[in-house]
Amino acid sequence: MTQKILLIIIFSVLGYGFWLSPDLKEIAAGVAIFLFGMMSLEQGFNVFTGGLLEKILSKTTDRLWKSLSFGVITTALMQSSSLVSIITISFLSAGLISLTAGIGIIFGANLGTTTGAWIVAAFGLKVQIATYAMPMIVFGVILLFQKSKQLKGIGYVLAGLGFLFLGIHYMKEGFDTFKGSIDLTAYAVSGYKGILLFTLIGVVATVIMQSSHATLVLIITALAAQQITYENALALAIGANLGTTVTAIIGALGASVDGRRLAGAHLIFNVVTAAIAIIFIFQLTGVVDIISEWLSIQPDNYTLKLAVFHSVFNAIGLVVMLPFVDLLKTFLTKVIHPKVKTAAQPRYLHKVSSGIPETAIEAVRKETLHLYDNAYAVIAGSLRLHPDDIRSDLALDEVIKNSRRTLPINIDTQYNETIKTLYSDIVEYVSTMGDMSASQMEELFSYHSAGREIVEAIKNTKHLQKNLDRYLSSGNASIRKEYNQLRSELAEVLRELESVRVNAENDLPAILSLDSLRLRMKENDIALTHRLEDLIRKRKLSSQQATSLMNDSNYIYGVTKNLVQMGEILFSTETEEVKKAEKMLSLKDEELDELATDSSALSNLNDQQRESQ
Amino acid sequence: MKLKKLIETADTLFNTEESDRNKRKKNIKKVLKKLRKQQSKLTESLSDNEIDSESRETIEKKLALTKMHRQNGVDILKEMKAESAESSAEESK
Repeated sequence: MTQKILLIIIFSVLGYGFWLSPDLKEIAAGVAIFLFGMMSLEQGFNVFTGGLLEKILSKTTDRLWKSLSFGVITTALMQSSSLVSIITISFLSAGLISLTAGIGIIFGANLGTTTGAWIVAAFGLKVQIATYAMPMIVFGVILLFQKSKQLKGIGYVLAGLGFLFLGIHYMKEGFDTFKGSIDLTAYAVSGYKGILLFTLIGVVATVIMQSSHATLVLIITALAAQQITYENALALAIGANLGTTVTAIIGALGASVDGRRLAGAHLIFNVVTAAIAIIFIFQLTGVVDIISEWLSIQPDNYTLKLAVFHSVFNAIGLVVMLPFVDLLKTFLTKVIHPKVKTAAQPRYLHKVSSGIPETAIEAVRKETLHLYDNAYAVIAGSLRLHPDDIRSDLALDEVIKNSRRTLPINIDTQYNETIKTLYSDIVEYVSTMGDMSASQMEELFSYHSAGREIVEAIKNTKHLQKNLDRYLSSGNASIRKEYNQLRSELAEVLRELESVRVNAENDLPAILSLDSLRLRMKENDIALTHRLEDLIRKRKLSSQQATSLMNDSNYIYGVTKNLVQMGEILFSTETEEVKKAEKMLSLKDEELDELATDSSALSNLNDQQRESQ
Repeated sequence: MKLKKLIETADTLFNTEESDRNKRKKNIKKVLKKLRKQQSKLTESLSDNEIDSESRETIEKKLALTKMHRQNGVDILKEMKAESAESSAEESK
């Protein structure tokens, strides 16, 4: 509702302004074309962010200085701190980078964005950039019609740059003709009153245009046309810096807790920097004069001096804030808490990460692992065991003997509450994901099938639970012992899976480590067949009990198979190519069968020897 | 970079089959490195005198599997080397 009212107010004010002065139309059109150019540029860079930028981002942000440099360089190259902020927030939300790295990038982006003022002040106003704008737009639009994604991306970048130049040209022309009819400097306010007022105007203008870059270009062109005073222009630049945090805060609304913390860091940085700049504005202008003289900038070249001021106050902010990054992180962690979530609520599927394939895919992987954690608890509960006991170092026989859980869980309720809804959320999130390459689709599909394996494992567990409850309270010690053996086998599978998961994080081969589980599964199956034959022969089990045991052993086999297949897909953090290489080295089913038969024969022989002794 | 190596690199770039093979080789070598790490970790655990016989048996089985995986990897690398030599011999004809 507020947005609609704001839109009506903006339309009315602009309409009235256009009616009053035709020159205002040219300036406003310049701003609109500039903003359109920014959007086109971001769209173009988005095409190229599907790989290289993400790789650099995830690999070069392990140190604060690296993330800082990344922020400065990428923002200077792409001329969009918003795009860098959005990518950073989505990476943070997917857990691909740390909060400290994110803070470093955002701080760096603040410095990198100051290059925009330099480019416009040094070239935009001196050169007839409209002459370059036209061919850029023409070539850019032609490239937009191409099928290749890369060529389309180049098209968007070219057209975007063209529109940026055209926008600057219109703003410049507009202000030049505007000064013939109205002198805006008549409304200049000097002293601190003026500084505060124009800072506020800068904030409002940036919030409305959602781009500090556009506000700065507007300030520079107005300053070049002498429509605003230098002092007021400095205040407007401070306001533009402050206003840009609103864009970041809006962007972080759908983000994870770390994304919101990052927006908080951005806000604190800009507020501190603005406060320093406002308090020491007169001293800073002195510093700007000295630097300008050193850089051979003419004393009356206020546009370039504004660019110097913009860089100086952002650099000061950086110097002041950098020593406090850890403190800032601690403060934000204390102040901004994660929303309390139930086991069924997604933890990694955030709106902000769905736009970038890499982060979206990683979010799906992590959420599917969350689904597995929930399934782990359900399976452990159905065995009347506590997940923490399975994860502990205690011997499983002891765990089963001293089980803290005496009553089984209601698997249907648990399935509906912690598995089904989360799985549906993952499926829905996947359906909203945008453009992806064939290999990314393949990866995503594999995570989807891992989710299906988890659901199947729960269904198999459900079948198992009925007889487990029945025979664990049976008067027949042999059947009780066999069902406890089944519990132990499945608990061991869960324990081994955890160990593989942890080892995979420590750079050990996940897929190949699961071969030992596949072997164990076959060995257990053979061992049960032998035991069953023996128990039936000795009439310790009825035929009905033996059939139940065989069926339930099959369910255990099914659960293990489901979980091993899930682990092969989810546990490894390696690329799809390395995963394929691991699969090439893993043992074939026939090889495992042979090994299981040999090992079972050996253990049978050992048992016989023990019995004869 | 030596001229010969430069030519070889350029040749690999244009020869997609060879380039694919090289990629696969690189990935297998990466997995073999991981397996070596795993093997030494398992051997280290075996040297612990305090572990019970059941755990020892499990570790021994895992160690045997790791050795089999490594052997598989070495065999695949040998096959690839032979394929590579064969295709370059065909090209030189």
